[in-house]
Amino acid sequence: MKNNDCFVVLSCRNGNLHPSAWELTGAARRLTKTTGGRVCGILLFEDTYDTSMFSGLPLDILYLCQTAALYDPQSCGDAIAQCVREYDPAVLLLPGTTFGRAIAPRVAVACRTGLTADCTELEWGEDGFLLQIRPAFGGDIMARIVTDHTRPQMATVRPGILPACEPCEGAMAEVVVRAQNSRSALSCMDIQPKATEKFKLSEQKIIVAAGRGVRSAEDLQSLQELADRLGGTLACSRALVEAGFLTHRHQIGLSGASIRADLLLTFGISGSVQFMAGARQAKKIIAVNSNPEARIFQFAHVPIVGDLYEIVPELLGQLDMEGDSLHGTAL
Amino acid sequence: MRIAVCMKQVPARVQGDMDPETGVIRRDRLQTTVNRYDLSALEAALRIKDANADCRIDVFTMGPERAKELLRTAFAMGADNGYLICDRAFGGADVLATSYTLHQAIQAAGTYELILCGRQTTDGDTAQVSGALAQWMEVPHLNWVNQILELGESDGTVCVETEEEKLTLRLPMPCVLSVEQDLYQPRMPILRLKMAAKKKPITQLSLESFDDTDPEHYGLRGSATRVRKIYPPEPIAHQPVLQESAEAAARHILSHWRELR
Amino acid sequence: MNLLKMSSDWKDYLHDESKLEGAAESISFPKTEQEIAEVIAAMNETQTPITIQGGKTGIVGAAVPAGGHIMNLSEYCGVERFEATEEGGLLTVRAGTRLDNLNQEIARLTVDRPLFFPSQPTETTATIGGVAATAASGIQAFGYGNASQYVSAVRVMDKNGTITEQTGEALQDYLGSEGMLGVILSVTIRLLPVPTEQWGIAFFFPEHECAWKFADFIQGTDVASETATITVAEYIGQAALAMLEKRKSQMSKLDDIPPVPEGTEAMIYLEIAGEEDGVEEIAGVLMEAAAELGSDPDQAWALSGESEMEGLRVFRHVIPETANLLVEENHRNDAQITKLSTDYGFSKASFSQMMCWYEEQMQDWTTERIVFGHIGGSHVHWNFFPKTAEEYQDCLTKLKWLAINIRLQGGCAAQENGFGKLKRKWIPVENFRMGAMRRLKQQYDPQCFWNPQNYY
Repeated sequence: MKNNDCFVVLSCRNGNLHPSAWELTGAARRLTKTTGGRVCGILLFEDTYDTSMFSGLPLDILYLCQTAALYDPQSCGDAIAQCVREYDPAVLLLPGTTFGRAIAPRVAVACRTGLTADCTELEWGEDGFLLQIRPAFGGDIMARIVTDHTRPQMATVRPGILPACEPCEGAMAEVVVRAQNSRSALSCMDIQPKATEKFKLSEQKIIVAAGRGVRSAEDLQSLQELADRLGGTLACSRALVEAGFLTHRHQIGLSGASIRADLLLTFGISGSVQFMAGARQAKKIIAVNSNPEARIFQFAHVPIVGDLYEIVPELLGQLDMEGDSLHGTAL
Repeated sequence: MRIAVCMKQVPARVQGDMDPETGVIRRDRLQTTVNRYDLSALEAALRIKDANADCRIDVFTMGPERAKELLRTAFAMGADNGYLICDRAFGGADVLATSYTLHQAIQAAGTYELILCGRQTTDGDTAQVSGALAQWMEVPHLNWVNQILELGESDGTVCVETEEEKLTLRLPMPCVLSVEQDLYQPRMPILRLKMAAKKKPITQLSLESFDDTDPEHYGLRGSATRVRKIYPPEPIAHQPVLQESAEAAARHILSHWRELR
Repeated sequence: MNLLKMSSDWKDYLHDESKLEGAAESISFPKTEQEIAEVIAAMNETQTPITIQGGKTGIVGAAVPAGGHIMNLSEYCGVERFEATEEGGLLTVRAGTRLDNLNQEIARLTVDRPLFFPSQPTETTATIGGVAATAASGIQAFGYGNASQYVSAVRVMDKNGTITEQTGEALQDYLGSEGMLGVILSVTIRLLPVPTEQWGIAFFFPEHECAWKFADFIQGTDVASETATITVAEYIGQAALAMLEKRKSQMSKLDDIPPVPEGTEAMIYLEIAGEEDGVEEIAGVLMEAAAELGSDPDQAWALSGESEMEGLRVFRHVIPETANLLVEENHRNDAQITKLSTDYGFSKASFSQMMCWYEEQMQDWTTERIVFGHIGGSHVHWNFFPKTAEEYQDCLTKLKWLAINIRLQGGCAAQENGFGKLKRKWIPVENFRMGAMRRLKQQYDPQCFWNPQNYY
């Protein structure tokens, strides 16, 4: 009888667990709740390890697997594959980070099993196989995928989507150290913190966009502040470029940038064809406009009729009060 | 140096406009194009060739007969040889079977110091084939390559970018590199080469050409995953127009913002 | 019916790409024929003139209101009828249908036997109503002839709400009438089969005189094949390329277009369509001719297939688009400044002759300018970018002078961009086309209910 164990690959950063560790463990806990089976973590290390960061993470067993180099997908993949082949879990989940996504295909081939990339949901199907659910075709379609004749059923999971699990009190997981001596074919010449990205509107996740409803260039300052506090970027419609308040590189639209933001918050933008051509692919659009007939309300997911000159100060005020703006310090 | 570049022909329009009733993807004209990410991989190979005359670029593509169009485009950009990996047995392949097929094809064509792939395809969207291919070939690989600093006889130095840092890594050849879209801006196909492209031979590789001719290892039969169902995602609901106090409106906006975090 | 009082909310509807600024008392966005009729009835009752708007992409101000009511038809859109015919198809669409949506609909309706509409401007947010009202023909006119051949009927509503279907001679009255004779409700267009093979080629010339000679060569009869033809032949001058290069990084849609080869003085963009052999035959002839004139075939871009060629078309279209952005910047510094561009065709002069003539006329002009346009009919658009009111006035004087001289050269004014409200600033009043238009206006709309001040 095969086990129903769920293995998760954990990653850490500067002595702390990556948030994905809590999300994957949470998913594994939910999955094993109905089927039984243990939840086991795999953590890769080069020379030393520190188990204290696992306190509270609800694992049954923690496998500490030695690898020659954390930046080498080949040696990391080997270490994980050896562990997985030995314990033969039903499910293996990896974080959908650059780290996890580079290693996962190597493990899948080593184990001759299937792999689904970037899942956003995981659940058991009626026939007992793991339904690996992911968006396809650029998010226009959802696909349910199963791995029905090989083990483990492998998936990488998009970070930041599944809920993190609660820390548990009490007993620490059993720790098994799997040391090995191997060499990496790769050598690291240099590591630099990632340079601040060059400004590209099309790559921004949160965008605050201003339009004709903004009366003067000075008034843009509070919108800039709002954008900063929300961890976003200020952009505009063509009207404000025409007015000379902002430059062309801030412009969304047919003759400017096409954006793919997760959240687009517009103030005083009417939503012309030209603007929407660049904004259409934003995942969620919240539009504030004082004109109830504004065309943008046909596209906005959250259409709000209101005066931006009242709502923007209110937003800044509420962010102040709750102190939860991204750059926490209130001005 | 011999460079293999893996490329794919994909639907030109990726918006899967699906009939919500039947789950069938509505396609207008079956227009195809070269996977944009792969053009960056080809461009990387061409730049290496620009700097190094005795370099040969072989392009591999897996797909139906019409994927020859892709090879001709690659010729028009400067590729030397084209391999069409085409066999009914290869249809319906997932990552496991696709990467194995590519591995067999590359092996059948010769030996290569460098294998270049694009970051991902626009239709499959997995970014997994390059790593899987490297595992079959038992060579090192790197994803997320956004700079090629140096390529020597036996090793190369490249930069990769993770969420937090930029690493400069040296790796021995042969190896597989999966390059980022912004590595290089792909060049345009060139008229003179395009005129010559038609006369250039394309090598067809089928199951028979491979070392391993067991059909169980390819296509749908060699795949470990099955797509059970595709369906449209739940659309983000369009709420009715709200007319409320500034205070309530602000609260509303912030709640949507918090959902993102 | 929803008549909206004019307020700052609707300011965007007071101008188009001409940068003329208009005024209006009210605006409406009718969605149905019924609503259009209601708006017209209400306006007729109060004798309020109506300006009809589509995508506001015009560059002569034909859709800029001169008082009264704006009836914007952008929400009156969609396919009404499709019928496959032996030669292709007939498609009836509502006036407010945008060209990008139109092309999507065509692709969807003609999966088994792909068809296309051969007469459309590169500006895909223009509406089909606007295209018919201005008789805009677009870059494929070189191969497919002018716009009027591809409109087989229009449905028109007059000020009394009477609907008529116009074909034949009366149809020609409406095409190019710039909305002055009545409101076009729907347009029936002719579709043709998509050619089996299509190539787009960009040649780059280190000397513009050589590019002109190459254009002459294309105008001649030497380039032909039994199974293929050149369908697009466009010229782009150095200053236009430089302007575009400067803006490129800010336009997402140009991300994939590499810089043009260094030292380029002029680019010629061609499309060839037909059977594969014929297309290659023509491409070979062109390559040889271009090489002789100094265009390196190792630097010429060549793409095939609809989706790949799209990129080059976008490239061509971005030139007028960028020019409009530049006009906008100058307009900001001085509200007087508007779009200033030429729109003359020379049926008797070769491309070189025409360009040499322009160069001669403009040798003392200091105003920043670019040139691009059609090799067919030696029909280029010079765009001028005066930065001050004074320079603008000076430019107008020169354009007036140019307009008179062009007539002496056998040039024909206002070929495709129309007259609108802008061109009278420099086109002589006794212009033939304007005279004809006034006679029509007298016949159809003597009270000037529709689009007041166009042509006048």
